[in-house]
Amino acid sequence: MIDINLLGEKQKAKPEITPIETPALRAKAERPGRTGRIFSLKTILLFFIAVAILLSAWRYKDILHYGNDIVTYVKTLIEEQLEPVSGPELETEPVTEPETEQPPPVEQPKPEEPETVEEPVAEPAATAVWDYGRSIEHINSYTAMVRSLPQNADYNVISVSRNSITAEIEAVNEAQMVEIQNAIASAFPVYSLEFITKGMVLRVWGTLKPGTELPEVSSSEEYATPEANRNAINSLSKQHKLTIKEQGEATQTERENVLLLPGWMKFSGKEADVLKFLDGIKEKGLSINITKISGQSKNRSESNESSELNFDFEIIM
Amino acid sequence: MAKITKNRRLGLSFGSEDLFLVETKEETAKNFKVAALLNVTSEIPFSVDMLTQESGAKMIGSELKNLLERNNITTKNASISLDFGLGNIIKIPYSEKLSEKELSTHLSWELQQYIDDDIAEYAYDFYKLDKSPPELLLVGTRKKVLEFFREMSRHAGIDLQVVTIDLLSAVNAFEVNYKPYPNEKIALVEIGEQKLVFTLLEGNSFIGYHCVFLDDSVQNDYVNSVLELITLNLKTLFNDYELSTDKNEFDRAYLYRTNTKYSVMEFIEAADQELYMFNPFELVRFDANLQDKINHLADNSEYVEALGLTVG
Repeated sequence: MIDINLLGEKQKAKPEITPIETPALRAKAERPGRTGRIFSLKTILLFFIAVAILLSAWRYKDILHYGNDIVTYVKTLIEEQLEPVSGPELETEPVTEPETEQPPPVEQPKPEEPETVEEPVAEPAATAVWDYGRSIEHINSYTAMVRSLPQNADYNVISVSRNSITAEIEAVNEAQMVEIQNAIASAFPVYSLEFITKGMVLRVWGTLKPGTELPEVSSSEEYATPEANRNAINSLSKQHKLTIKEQGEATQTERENVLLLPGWMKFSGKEADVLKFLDGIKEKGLSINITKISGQSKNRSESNESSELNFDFEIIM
Repeated sequence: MAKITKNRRLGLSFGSEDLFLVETKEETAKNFKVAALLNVTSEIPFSVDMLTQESGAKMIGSELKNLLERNNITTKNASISLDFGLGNIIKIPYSEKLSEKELSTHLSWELQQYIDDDIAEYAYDFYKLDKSPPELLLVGTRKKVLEFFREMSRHAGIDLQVVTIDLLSAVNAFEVNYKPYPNEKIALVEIGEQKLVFTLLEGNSFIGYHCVFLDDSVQNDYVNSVLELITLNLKTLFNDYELSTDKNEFDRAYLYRTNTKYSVMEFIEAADQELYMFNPFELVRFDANLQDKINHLADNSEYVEALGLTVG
């Protein structure tokens, strides 16, 4: 059962594993007067027996030691008797023991290690690999959509995030709406587009095509620490006239066995500058992931055809 | 197995023009019975626009109150499902090593990637899927949407306990009624007034979902046009999700409806491929007073989401 409650009035835990209903379980569940007891009588009895054995062992430890010594002495004696005698080797046919099927070793459950509070790691074991191809693809998708729009069409949101793109575009009349639909559908590289034409607002939802073949970028050791990485990105953003709008200190987290470095940033800049910035990142081997590119038509430049296209984008490092 | 945690529960699913209600009673899955079913074309249909109207919650709440009174339904424990468009459903991997606080921070950040407003405006919940590597479903909605339904419930005189997303209710209804093999690839297809929603499952496990909005062009030949879209999307989704290398189609596709104009049977009869009707009462029993009034062979699939709200 998918247990989602947006009112948030429940404790969330791991998925509940419901035992297979058996007559015994059912009988147990239905037995009256059994609720609220933490230990059963059987458990208590076993506990007392265990305590009695321990006390006896403590009292008679000398006897046990003596018993141990006897065992050691006997073992030594047997080993001495079995030591090979040097001399001519007798040819004997090897005795083949009948093969007996050994039961598979029973795996003992490993005792759970006590949770320890880990010190913050200064240098990560592995850094998030920057998906250069995906970042370029995001920018291309974003700009392709904006450029396909007629100049007087207002868009409230165009947002590229992960593998999807969403947009809300207002048209001035039905003719323009058709024009917009056709323009987007022909120009924009998506799998599918859906439109809601209610109130002259087009809502576009699409899925990006898989990433184009672009060279992989490996992260540089020089910028392996979060601080060095962040400083280098800061410096590059200034060099390429990008404005840092917001930045946050995210907690260190791990996803798909990749340690994500702290920090995210929101930039605002022109398309050409952003692309130069990305080139710089690629050359230096910095680690970032562009997670979202979005914009509104109020940030749009006058020339649709030029690369003077303002937009915001975020990265995670 | 489904567990009914309350003696009686109401599941309320709002369609674009209709309200679907299921009331269940008794305590265990074995005795799980449907006590009441209502399919009402509301005088004041719920719409997204109402969320911004101050009087919207009061209007719908009062109408619901009258409806319950007219049908002698006194159950107060209620669950409501939201149209998926009012929420964000995101499936993401996560680390089991994260503490509760770290996970919360992580989820806030993830949700922020999908919304354009302040995260403080949103409420969210998550469900850990039983998968390896671990994945979870993150579901968020605007707090003002929840406020609307709280206010509506107050006027209706019901005790709102759960708010979830409609397609997730449908998954729960499926789990109660069907027992697929764990590796079977299943598609649940909701046929709504203006959209088709595809929910993809492997066995009973959620894989993903996809929505296709219907434009006016389908109205001329609704059944065949929609059927064409269903067939096309089932093929595309199967390939997109890379569900199997051995075959190229779902093992089974179940149709259910949230519209009252077209029966699912019309689509099944017109289809070239094998499609099934999602019967929310396949394994669910009816209370004695309802037993004779229900046509078990008819299309009752409009109650899928409402029934799914009363289990879990």
